[in-house]
Amino acid sequence: MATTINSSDLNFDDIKTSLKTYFASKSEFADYDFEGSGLSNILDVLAYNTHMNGLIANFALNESFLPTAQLRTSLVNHSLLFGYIPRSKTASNAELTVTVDLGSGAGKPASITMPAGTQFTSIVDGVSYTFRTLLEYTAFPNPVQPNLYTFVDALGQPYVRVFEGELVVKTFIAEITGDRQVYVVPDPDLDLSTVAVQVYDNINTDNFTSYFSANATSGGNAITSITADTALYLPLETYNGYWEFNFGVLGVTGKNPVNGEVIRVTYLRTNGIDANGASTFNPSSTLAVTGFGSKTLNTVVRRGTKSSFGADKESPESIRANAPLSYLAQNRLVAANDYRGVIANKTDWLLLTIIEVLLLTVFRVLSLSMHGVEKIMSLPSMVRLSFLLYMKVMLVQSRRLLYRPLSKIT
Amino acid sequence: MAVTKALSIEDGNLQTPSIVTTRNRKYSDLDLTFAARTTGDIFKKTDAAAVKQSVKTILQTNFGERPFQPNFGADLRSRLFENFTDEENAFLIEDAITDALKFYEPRAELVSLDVRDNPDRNYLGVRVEFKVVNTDELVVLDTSISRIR
Repeated sequence: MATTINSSDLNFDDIKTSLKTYFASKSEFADYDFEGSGLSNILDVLAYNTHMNGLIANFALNESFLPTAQLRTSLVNHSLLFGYIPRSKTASNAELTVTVDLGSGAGKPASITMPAGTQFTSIVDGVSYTFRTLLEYTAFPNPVQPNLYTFVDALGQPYVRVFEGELVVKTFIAEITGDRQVYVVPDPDLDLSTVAVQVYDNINTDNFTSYFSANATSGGNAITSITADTALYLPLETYNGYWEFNFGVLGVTGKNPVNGEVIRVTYLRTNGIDANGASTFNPSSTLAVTGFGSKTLNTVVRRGTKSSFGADKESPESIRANAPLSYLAQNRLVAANDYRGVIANKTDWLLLTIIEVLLLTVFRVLSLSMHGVEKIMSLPSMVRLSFLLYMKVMLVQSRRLLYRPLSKIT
Repeated sequence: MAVTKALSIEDGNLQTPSIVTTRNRKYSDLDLTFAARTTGDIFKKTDAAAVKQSVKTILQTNFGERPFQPNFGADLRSRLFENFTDEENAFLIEDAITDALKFYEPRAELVSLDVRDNPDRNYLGVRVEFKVVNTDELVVLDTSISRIR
C-alpha cells in the first residue's frame, strides 16, 4: 500500500498514476478513477504542476552543461568559459580578374587605382547580391596590350577579392560612468572577420587609433602580451545573437576609450551562405580615370571558381564540438589535435577530412626527413613522381581552404 | 458481500463455479463548490450526487481544456456559435453528449436526453436523465450553457 507519492517521474500520466495510487490507499475519496470527477480534476492540476516543475528543472540542468545544452545562447556562454568565441556569419567572397580598357589615347597613367568599397552585383537563385572590395587595388598596363590595365593584389596576382554584404558603420561616444562600458551592435548578420574598430580622440578630429581583435580565432591576432596601452577589443555574442564589443578593464588589460572619445565600428552585414555560387559579377558603377573619363570595369571570375565561403553563424553542434578542441589547442600549433581545433574554426567540418590528410602527409614527410631525405630519393622514379604529384595536389587544396584575407577595412 | 469458493482446474474440480465476488463501491468525491463545513473540512459528494457532479463536469468541459486529454468533455460551448435553426445542431449536441458519457462516465446509464434552445437569449438548455449503475437510482440533470458576449 502506497503511503508516499512518487513524484520523480516527468511524464504527466505517470505522475497522475502515482497520485491515484496514493488515493487508492485512502478511504476518503473513491472517485479518483473517474475522469469526470472533481478529484480527477484536482489530480490533473497537481500532476500538471509537478510535470511542469520537473520539466523546467530538467531543462535548466540540461542547459547548465556544454554536452547537454540545447539553446544556442547557453552554448555560446559555455564556450566563453573555454575562451572560445563562436563564428559569426561569414561573407561569401570571390576572386575576380578586373580589367579596364583605356583605349588608344596618349598620356596613359602608369597605374590606376580602384578604391576600397567598389561594388559589383551578382544574381544567385533569382536574388541580387552586392559584393564589394575591402581593399584598394592598383592596375598596371598589360605588357602585350598597353591599353588594357589589370588590377593586381598585394602579391602581384591578377585577382581582386570581393565580399558580399552591406558596409555598415556604428558610432559610439564613450561615456565612462564607473560601470564597465560595453558597446552593443544589434546586428545578428555581422561578419566578425570584416570588423574594424577605430577610436577617434574626439568627434571633431580625424586622428584615430585602430584597435585589433583579441579573438584570435576570428581573424584577430594572437596576443602574446597585454599591457595597459594595448589597443584591443574583444567581440562577444550576446544572448540574443547580437554582438558586443568589450575593451580593456581599468587600463590593466588594454586601453579603454575615455570620456569623449568616439568609437567607430565598421563591418559587413552579410547574407552569408545564401550568396554562395555567384559566377557573374557586374560592376555597379564606372571607374573615373584622370584624363580618360569614366571607364567600364570588365570582370571575369577566377577560372573554375564561384563565390564561396559564405556561412551562417556557427551551429550549436559545431560550438559543442569546437569549444573544447579550441581550449585544448590554446592557440598553439604543436600537436595534431591543435591543428584540428584551430583549422576547425576556419573551415567546415566536411572539409576537415581533407585538411587531416594534408597534415598526415606533412607529418609523414617530416618523419621521412628525420630518417634521411635519401629515402625519398632512393625510391623508384615513378613512385617518387607520384608522391610529389600527390603533395602538389594536397598543397593546392590546402591553399584554397585556408586562404582568407586578414586585412581590415580602413 | 457474497463469496463462493472453488478449486482450480488443475485440481480437477471443473464443475465448481469460479470465484464470484461483488463489491458495492461507494462513490465519493470532492464537492467542487468547495464550501467549508463547520469543522473546517470541505463537503463531500457521495453516490448519485457524485455521479451527477461528474456528468455536469463532463458536459461543461470543452475540448482542449484538460491537460493531455484534448478530447475530454462534450465540447458544448463550441456549439453556441453555430446556427440553431435546424435540428441538425441539436442532433449533433445529443450525439456529443452521448459519446462523452459513454467514454468518460461508466457509472451513468443514459435514459433520455433533451436539448432545448432559446436563440433569443443565446441560451442552450440540456436535460440529461440517467441511472446510476450500482443503484439504479434515476437522476435528472438540468444544465445550461449561454454566451456571455
